[in-house]
Amino acid sequence: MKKCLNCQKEIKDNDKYCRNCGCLIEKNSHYILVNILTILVTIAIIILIILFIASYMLSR
Amino acid sequence: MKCINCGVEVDVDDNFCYKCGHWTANGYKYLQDYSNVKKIENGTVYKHNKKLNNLIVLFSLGVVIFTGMLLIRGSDLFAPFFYVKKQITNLINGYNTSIIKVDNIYNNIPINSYEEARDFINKDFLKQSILCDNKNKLLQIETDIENQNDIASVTFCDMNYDEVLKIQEVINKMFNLFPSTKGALTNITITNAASNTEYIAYFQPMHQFVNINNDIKEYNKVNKTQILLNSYYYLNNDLLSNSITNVVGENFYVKNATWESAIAHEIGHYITFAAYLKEKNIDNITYVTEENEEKINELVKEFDQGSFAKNILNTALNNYNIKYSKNLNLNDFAKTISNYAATLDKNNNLLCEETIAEAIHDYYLNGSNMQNSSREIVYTLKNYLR
Ligand SMILES: [Zn+2]
Ligand SMILES: [Zn+2]
Repeated sequence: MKKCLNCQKEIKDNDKYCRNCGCLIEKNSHYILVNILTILVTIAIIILIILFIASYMLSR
Repeated sequence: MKCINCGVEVDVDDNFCYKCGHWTANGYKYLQDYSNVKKIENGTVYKHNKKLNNLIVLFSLGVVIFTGMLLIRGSDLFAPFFYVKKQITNLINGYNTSIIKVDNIYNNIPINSYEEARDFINKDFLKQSILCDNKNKLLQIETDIENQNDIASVTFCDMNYDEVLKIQEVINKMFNLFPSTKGALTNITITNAASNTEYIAYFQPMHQFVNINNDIKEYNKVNKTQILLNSYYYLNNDLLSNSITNVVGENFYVKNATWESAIAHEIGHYITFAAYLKEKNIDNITYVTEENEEKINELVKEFDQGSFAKNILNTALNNYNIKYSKNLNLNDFAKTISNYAATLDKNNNLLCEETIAEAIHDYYLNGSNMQNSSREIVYTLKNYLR
């Protein structure tokens, strides 16, 4: 039995939206993907800043 | 009961349409109670949606930061990346290697003058200078050497600054000793030799560089005439701090030889080649057109066969024997200069071009104190350079 992630009420098989709270029902992989992407983008920004500082140190 | 938005049948106690998400009559009442709205907003999905928004903001921020940094630093922004890559390669090898590529080949490039050919040669390494440490300091010296000695491209990427200054002195002095040979040398470049000890430095009269696979009727070609420096020696200061005699052996090179003067030996090869070109009435082999392609290929082939060097040596030997009342043969004559000068090929014939290069090396290092044999060779060679 599936439950709505938002309000924990039961969801019927082919429902697109939760009948109780109206939230769009997404697959679990969607949430995982957003979490991973957030981590990756954060790391990329940190690397970028390090690269920027290091490029000044190298050209001294 | 039907959904007011999409018309599907919904249960009476549903708050929202399962198909389109629109609120139902029941849902409308449900949303009037603010505590219900609060409950929905505190749910996991709502929090997650906020996360998604954050991700979009974070990503946009990243793009803005990247663009800004790129505008400020240009391609220098990636220099640390290459630096790390280089350090890893060096760590794996156990010694420093060169990161620049010397064997790039280009095709389908329209080249329409000697100047364009030289410019193309220069840009090939200028594009790669981002890969090099302390490139700004070296770039200044490299440009000075290029301008003073009419060389298209000089690249010492990653070499120790003091070492580069010493090499600059060698190159400048060599072209002061033989000023009329300027113009046919296109490159002096640091590179990784096929094996570490294959050579210390190496002169290559012709390296086909641009449009080598094209038909000469469609595209003019570009050759390099180059001196390559083996990175195994010139990028590893612990090796350079050893005397060259300890590495190659006593009497291998002429007296007082150093790591830098080994380059004078290679320039000696180039000077021989330049003298040969002068004799054949051609300034250089850099810019190849339909008119001169055949001639250039023939000339280089003939030069490689070594008869030009042999002629010079025979003339010099003749003069030497008369002047000093000696009766030396070619091999003994060469031996008076250095062991390297007396190198034989696989058929036990003297490699005359090595003898000449060593004579010039001797002239560079020891000036008027050079061997009499070297003096005769340099004198004969200079006759070709008038
Ligand atoms: Zn729900
Ligand atoms: Zn609906």
